[in-house]
Amino acid sequence: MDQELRTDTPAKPPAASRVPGWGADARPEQRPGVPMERPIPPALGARPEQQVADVPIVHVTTPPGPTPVFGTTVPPHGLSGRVRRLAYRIPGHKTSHWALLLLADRIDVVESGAARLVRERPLLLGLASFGLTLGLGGLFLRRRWR
Amino acid sequence: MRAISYLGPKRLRIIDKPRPRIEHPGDAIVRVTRSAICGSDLHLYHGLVPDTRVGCTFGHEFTGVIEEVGSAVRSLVPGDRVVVPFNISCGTCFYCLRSLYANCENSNPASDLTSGVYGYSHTTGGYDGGQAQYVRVPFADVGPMKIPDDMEDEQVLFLSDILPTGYQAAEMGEIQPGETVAVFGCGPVGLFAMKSAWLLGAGRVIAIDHVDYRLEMAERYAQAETVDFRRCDPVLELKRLTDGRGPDVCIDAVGLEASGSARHSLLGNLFLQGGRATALEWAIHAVRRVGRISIIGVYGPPWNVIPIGVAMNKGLTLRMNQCNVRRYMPRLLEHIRAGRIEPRGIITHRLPLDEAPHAYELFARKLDGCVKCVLIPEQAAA
Repeated sequence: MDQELRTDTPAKPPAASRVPGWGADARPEQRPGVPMERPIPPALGARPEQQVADVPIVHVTTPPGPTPVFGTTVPPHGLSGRVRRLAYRIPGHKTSHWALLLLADRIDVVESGAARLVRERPLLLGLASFGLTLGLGGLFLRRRWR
Repeated sequence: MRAISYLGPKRLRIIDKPRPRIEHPGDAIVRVTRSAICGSDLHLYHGLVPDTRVGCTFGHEFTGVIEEVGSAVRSLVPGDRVVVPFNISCGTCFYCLRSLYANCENSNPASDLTSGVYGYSHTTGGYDGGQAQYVRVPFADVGPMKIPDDMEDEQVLFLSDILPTGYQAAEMGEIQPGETVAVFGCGPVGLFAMKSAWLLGAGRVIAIDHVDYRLEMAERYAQAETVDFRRCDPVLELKRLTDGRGPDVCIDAVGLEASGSARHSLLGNLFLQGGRATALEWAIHAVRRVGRISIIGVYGPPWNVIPIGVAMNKGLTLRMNQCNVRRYMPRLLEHIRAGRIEPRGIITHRLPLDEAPHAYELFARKLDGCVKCVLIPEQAAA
């Protein structure tokens, strides 16, 4: 297809009358991505130095092991982390891999929200717990007295 | 440092986070000067991308200044101004040697789908993004491009993603001079796909959307004819506008959060498909026989319901990929210098980094005429 592109530039169409630079890249050799896959000799470049992980990294099963470079933000943690580890034991072409990751995301929201509440609003949490205890206790006593 | 932090679907906040550090000899630490919110950030914001962890920082479109470099970095020194492609690419693997930087196999341990990407979930490698004061940039000799001294950051900011992405979308359409190109979606990538279609010699460019101010933007900024799909069947309208045949090329610049189809919305909202493939379905039906479809909109795993039988029977060519940003930067820089494209023309909002949650809301809900938000960290505001 790329070879068949017309190399002559036709007259500017009326619709393009207000367009600066119309046709500047009309010829395929002016297009940076043509061909998309540039031919090279079949030899591979050197594999980059391996990054050392100082946090737990989960990765796909093929190829084995982490890539030479990876992100280290927000390592897996808690129940959501367990679900993520399970997901990464399943190959990426299986639906269950993605379904488990989405499930882990929702669990993460709940458990991170609860942890944030404990960390940032301990007084509010204490009052809520106290109120809940009083309410349940009152309910229990009321039933006993009937 | 200040950085945005994801709390859950539609919930972000600004927090203080430790500054990133050199973790590999090829790394650099960049002090961010400008960071944009991308349409694909909204997929994260809405909780649609698997393995988006609470506490991560989004942002894959940014410029900045080199603060620190690893021992193996040769081409950059502290103080250099850079624009950074969203792909994290090693430059030496099977794919990078073929200039397919988006498909690098050495930067994403979590998936064999794509390269690593800044701030785009652990599905693309678990890297923090640039909606922060500082960001770690791996393989610093490969991706970042120095910003010429005579150019402002905002002139080149969109070379990090949406301008090359829009250009590659048009290029994958294999546009021949005089052809008619339909672009689904008048967001930032769609607008740049329209501008690029003209550069490639299109005879007509038709934009399809349903948001009034975005359709006006397509007319004004990209000189496109427009179709509002609230007022007509877009497939029939595109055929009517092209002598009943259909456009030669259709570009899907929408992806998984499309509007316009109750069926796709139902399936997507129930997670029975990866989002809503409405634009792609329309493109397949609208394009002429033996036409070309270019997909640059992002779709999520594991699958989408599209009429592949229609595509087969019409003899269509479908081309798609994440953008190989680095290879487009020099040529697009020439276009910016020559005044053929003015990327700053799509910026509608500039906000301090601390107002990022508000910026996301504006962008996601299409409020206040929002097309593109640029975030400015406090130290870069002067």
